[in-house]
Amino acid sequence: MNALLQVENMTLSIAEKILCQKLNFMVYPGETWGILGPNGCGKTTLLHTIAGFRKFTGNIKLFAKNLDTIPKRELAKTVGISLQETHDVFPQTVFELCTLGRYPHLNFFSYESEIDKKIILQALTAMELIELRDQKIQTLSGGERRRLTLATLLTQAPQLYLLDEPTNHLDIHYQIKILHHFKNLAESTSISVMMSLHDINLAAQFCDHILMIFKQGDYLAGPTSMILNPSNLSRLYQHPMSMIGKHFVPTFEKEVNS
Amino acid sequence: MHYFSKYTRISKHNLMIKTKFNMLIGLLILAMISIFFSIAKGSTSISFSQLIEAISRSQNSIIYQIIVELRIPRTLSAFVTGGLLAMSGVIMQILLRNPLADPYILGISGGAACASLLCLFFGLAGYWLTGAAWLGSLCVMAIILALSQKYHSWDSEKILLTGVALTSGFSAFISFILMISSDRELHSMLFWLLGDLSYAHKPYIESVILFIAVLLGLSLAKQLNVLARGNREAESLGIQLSSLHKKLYLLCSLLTATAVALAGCIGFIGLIVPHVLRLIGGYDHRWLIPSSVLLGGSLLTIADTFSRFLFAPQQLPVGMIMAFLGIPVFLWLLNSGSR
Repeated sequence: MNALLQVENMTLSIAEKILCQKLNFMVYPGETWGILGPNGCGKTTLLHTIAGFRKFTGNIKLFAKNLDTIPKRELAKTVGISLQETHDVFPQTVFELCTLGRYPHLNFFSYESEIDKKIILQALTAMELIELRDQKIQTLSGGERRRLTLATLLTQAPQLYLLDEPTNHLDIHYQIKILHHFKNLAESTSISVMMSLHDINLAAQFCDHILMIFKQGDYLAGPTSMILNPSNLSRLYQHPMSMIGKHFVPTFEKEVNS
Repeated sequence: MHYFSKYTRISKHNLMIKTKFNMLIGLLILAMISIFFSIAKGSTSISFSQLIEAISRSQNSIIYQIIVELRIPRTLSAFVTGGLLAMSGVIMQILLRNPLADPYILGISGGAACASLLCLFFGLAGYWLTGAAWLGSLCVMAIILALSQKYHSWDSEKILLTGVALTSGFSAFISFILMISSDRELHSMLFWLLGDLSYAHKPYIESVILFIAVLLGLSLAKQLNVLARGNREAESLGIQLSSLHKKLYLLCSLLTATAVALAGCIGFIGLIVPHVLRLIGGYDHRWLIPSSVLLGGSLLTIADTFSRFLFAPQQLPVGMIMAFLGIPVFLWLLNSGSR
């Protein structure tokens, strides 16, 4: 089977500062990857680079094609990203905003078809926004906006979903529901998901692969069972971690010497 | 049951498209009424039957002269200027991602005003004035484009601030010209600054520019929809940002320059028409662009008609009437719809 995403010798840097060097990993269709790391380690930068927003050194290949040779519109059919923050200036309805996800699939002259509308409605249903479809986005809560961003991404229907902290602003119920949705989507339609997460237990539950980016500039990538253990996590967050049953738990003392 | 409820939702969306189409027809009718009203009303009122008679039969009558030589060019000028400004406002607000943006915010009108006022100061008029306004706006366009190239990417905030800074510079220069001008020049300068259609020539080139701009705008409409969401979001949906920004910038600044060269600085239209349309009909630019031209054109045509006959034979600057008529309506709309 061909790798969906292949990252070779990539250097992550932001404003001349190198975050992580010689990054190498491959993502196959159907896999769900969790990206873990402390604040400022480059999780968002990595996702933005794969989405094609940033210049980079090394190679990124999507279905064996170099990222920088793929036209933007084609790229949008292959890779989609949900951003950590969105700033909506104009008063659109939930439905209108979700419609934008279909943009890369429309021809120059075509209007959204019945099929497009069906896809939009399915995405809104999946994110439990269907009742709010005619509301202005300015009236939505933080969690509802997050789900709308994800619904728009579902409407875009790429092969590789990049989710930057998808569980932000969501209550426990929706965190689990939404991660279930993406994991099922990955398994049933052989798309891939890469998401940055802060909740280790959600990563343990929903991700079959983990990428850890350490503050020191090295990284670990591989199947969850091999990577996710208290010693790696303690090193990752510079904070002692232990396991209680199936769950990872941090030490709650104020000052700790790691 | 589930399938049925889905089905009704889809038809509701179709209904929305149909409503938008109906609104477009409504605006078209409004445009025709306003044009007829503008041709018929003025210092001399002309009835509908006189109008038909004048056009069809008596080529030498005085009414024919008034209609063909004065009223039609003037009405067309008003309509085209309104359309240009409203469409420019729609694009400028998306380009700068700022609902307060209007066609003049980047200082294009300021440059045109300086050049035109200098012309008036030296006693030049007619085509000199139009030419100077064009030259002034093109210079500002070039300055902003050159500066925006220097930034890493299209940075709306920086460009907005550049525009605001240029505008204040220009307004200082405008004040200076006003200070040193004689009373007689001052009157025409004030008219120019408030926006005035009385020296507008026959606006054939401008009509063609507007028509081409609408076609270009429609071809970019879907991209405008996506861009409204934000730069990053648009890029992730497959938009080539730098080229789109440049196209939109050139399009809306040319629209503004054309309008300013034709009729001076008519305020309000470019800011308010886009908002009114978004309030009543949503924000899809495939609809917003033609609607803005129709509504902007109609409003300015109506305002111009009032400016001609309210205190006839004294004429008022159309920009002033526009603000008097439009602002209450807009405030009412803004507050009536808490949707």
